[in-house]
Amino acid sequence: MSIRPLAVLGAALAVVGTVGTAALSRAPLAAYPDDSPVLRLAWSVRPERIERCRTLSDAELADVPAHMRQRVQCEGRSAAYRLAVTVDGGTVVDTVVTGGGARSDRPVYVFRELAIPAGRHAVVVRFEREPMAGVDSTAGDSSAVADAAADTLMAGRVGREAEERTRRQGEAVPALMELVTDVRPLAREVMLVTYDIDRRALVLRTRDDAP
Amino acid sequence: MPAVVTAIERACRRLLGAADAAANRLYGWRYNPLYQSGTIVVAMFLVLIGTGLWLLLFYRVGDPWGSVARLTANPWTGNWVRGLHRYASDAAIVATAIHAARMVLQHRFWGPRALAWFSGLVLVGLVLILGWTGYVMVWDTFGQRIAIEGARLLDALPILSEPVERAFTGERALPGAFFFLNLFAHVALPLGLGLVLWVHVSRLARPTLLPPKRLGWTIVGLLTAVAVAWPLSMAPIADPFFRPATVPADYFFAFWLPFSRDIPADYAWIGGGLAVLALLLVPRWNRGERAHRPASEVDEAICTGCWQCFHDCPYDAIRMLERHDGRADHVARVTPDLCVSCGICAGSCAPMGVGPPGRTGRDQLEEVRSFLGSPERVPGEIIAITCAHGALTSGPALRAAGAVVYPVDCAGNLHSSVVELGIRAGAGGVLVLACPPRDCRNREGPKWTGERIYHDRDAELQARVDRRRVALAYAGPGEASEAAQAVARLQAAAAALAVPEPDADLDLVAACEATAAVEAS
Ligand code: HEM
Ligand code: SF4
Ligand code: SF4
Repeated sequence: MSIRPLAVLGAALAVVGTVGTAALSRAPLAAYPDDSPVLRLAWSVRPERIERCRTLSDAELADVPAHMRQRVQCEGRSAAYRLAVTVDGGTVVDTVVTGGGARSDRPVYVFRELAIPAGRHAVVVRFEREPMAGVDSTAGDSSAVADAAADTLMAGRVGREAEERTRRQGEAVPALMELVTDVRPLAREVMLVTYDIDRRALVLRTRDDAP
Repeated sequence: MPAVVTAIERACRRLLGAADAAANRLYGWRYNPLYQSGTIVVAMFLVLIGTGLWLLLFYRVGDPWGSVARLTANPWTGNWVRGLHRYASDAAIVATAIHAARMVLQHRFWGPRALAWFSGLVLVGLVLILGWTGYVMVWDTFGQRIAIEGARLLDALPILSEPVERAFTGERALPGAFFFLNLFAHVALPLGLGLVLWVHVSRLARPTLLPPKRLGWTIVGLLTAVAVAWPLSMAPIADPFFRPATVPADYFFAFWLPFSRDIPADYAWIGGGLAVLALLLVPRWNRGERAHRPASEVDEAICTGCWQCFHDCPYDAIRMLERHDGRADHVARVTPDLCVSCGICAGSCAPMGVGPPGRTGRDQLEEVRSFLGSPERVPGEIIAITCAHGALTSGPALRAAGAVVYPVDCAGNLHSSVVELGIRAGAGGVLVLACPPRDCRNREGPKWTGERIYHDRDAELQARVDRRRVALAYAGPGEASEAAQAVARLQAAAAALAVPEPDADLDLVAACEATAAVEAS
């Protein structure tokens, strides 16, 4: 009968199919075809709020519903930042970044991966607030801040408003940060430039000082 | 349809037919894994649930790579279970691709089947996401690579306010919450999968969900053997500060990576979106098929309310309604939105009162009468009734074997009186060539035809028909030699009998109606 060779062939084919499936399940796949080191810029910071403040008079405050009253009223917008990177003096990035959200008041998120040749390089990363037309003060117009103790209508709220504004300023990123460093990456290595919230500065991190 | 598409389709169909025929020869149609592709996927799901629950006992969200590494280092209760879990998911992908290709080539996607089509696409999407979360769980270089690519693609969509990519930049250690969320998705998705599978087969009567035991266990055995004989190893742990040239990848789940990797995320979405859209539109593009294949209809003046078509319809498209005109208690009614026009009910009905227009038992009898009345007919010849989707492709081989070919739309539509009429007209034998049961594009045609010929299922082949002159054989497209052998066997059987006397006087329609009336009362 011819059934035996067929059975052997069938079994062999089943084994080949199974082993083939297993092989395709653990085969090397090109993950990053380019073997240059990478300078990765990655940070997320709250943009500074640039505003002009004014103290409302008692008469003006009286027109506002009680739960919406604020003695000091501020208008302004969130800052934009210029991100500039040079490698060995040559500019590789020069761009303006803004915060997310419709009013750009969400965190500014920087994520760039720059391929650089292996070997020693001088790298400068600069992150600087863009000047904004018509608004020049960031600390608020101090002359406009009301004398909290003398405020009878708003009692302690004026003080709290002022505190809140100061806190927001403190959280914001400095107006200028610059990282000047020499790097010496190996092929495929990633060097991370990120924002250190404690030092309030840009820092360089490699695998050795990874969190 | 454009001529190119038709040509490609024809070529693919021929390829599938050849592959099916080869697998039938090697394993027999009953255990042909290509026929069983849909049920194999379900069997693999069960394996995945079993092995997955076991692996879950050892997985730690606080130490993903480490816990998987310990598991992998354990040859007794760890490594091979992980291997089986992985290979079963790969086998599920392979089987899904075959299953979907069959459905495409057999045009099983328009009309009421569109629900199965759409839900099938959802199933594929869920399975791919499930695989993604599974590999991210390991958090080796491969898991990291697909996580980063997935994040890059996700961040191109305006849905999340905080970019996901940030998690993988190395700014800070990945939070345990990330692995917890990923694990949650990996465990919860199978529940969704089960739900969608239920929708997938919801239009089918008696869905076949599992392969024959022997086939199912053989596949599980083979996968286990490979998992044991070729143990899995660990890829290096994920490292945000190194970009590996290659990662050990599962191509079944990461096939998209080489395509998306080097293009902007927007393009990847546009490309992928267009492909998905094209797949979603397939049933719509083929809406026109309904015009050629209208829904079945019941002739209420004929229906005796026997319930047979109700039992036989593979798509649950027939309801039985109460009847008050004194003819019978019930009457059959087809729901056109559920009817795929498979025609199986035409073969169910003894009085020939149901079927798609032009394909009822009566229509079939009329057609075969003119065929039998042709002057070319020779008493004693073998008539091979061939399914248009299967054995018809073997026409030349059948003729060469000495049979005359009588094509029908589907052997499962065949009314048994057509067979009887052939014998009465003086044929030496009638050979019904159906597709192998699991390959029937109308799901249950060969099963019911076999029961009607051999097991008295309504509308049964009458006892007065000499069974020695009748044969049922299975031959898929591409199985010409099997079809020819079946002819030879019937020829040999018929040769032992006397030359038949033509006897076409009997009014078969009246006879069938009379039988049905007796049975109904
Ligand atoms: C990933 C998982 C899938 C599983 C587990 C699966 C499983 C099944 C099963 C068990 C059946 C019933 C077979 C029968 O009893 O006749 C079926 C039918 C069907 N499947 Fe799938 N399937 C999957 C994916 C797909 C895909 C991707 C498509 C196409 C895009 C598809 C299209 C169909 C169609 C159209 C039917 C109905 C056949 C008919 O109406 O005759 N399936 N599937
Ligand atoms: S043709 Fe008949 S058997 Fe087929 S789906 Fe329609 S009603 Fe059901
Ligand atoms: S098989 Fe025929 S007689 Fe019986 S219920 Fe259906 S339509 Fe009526």
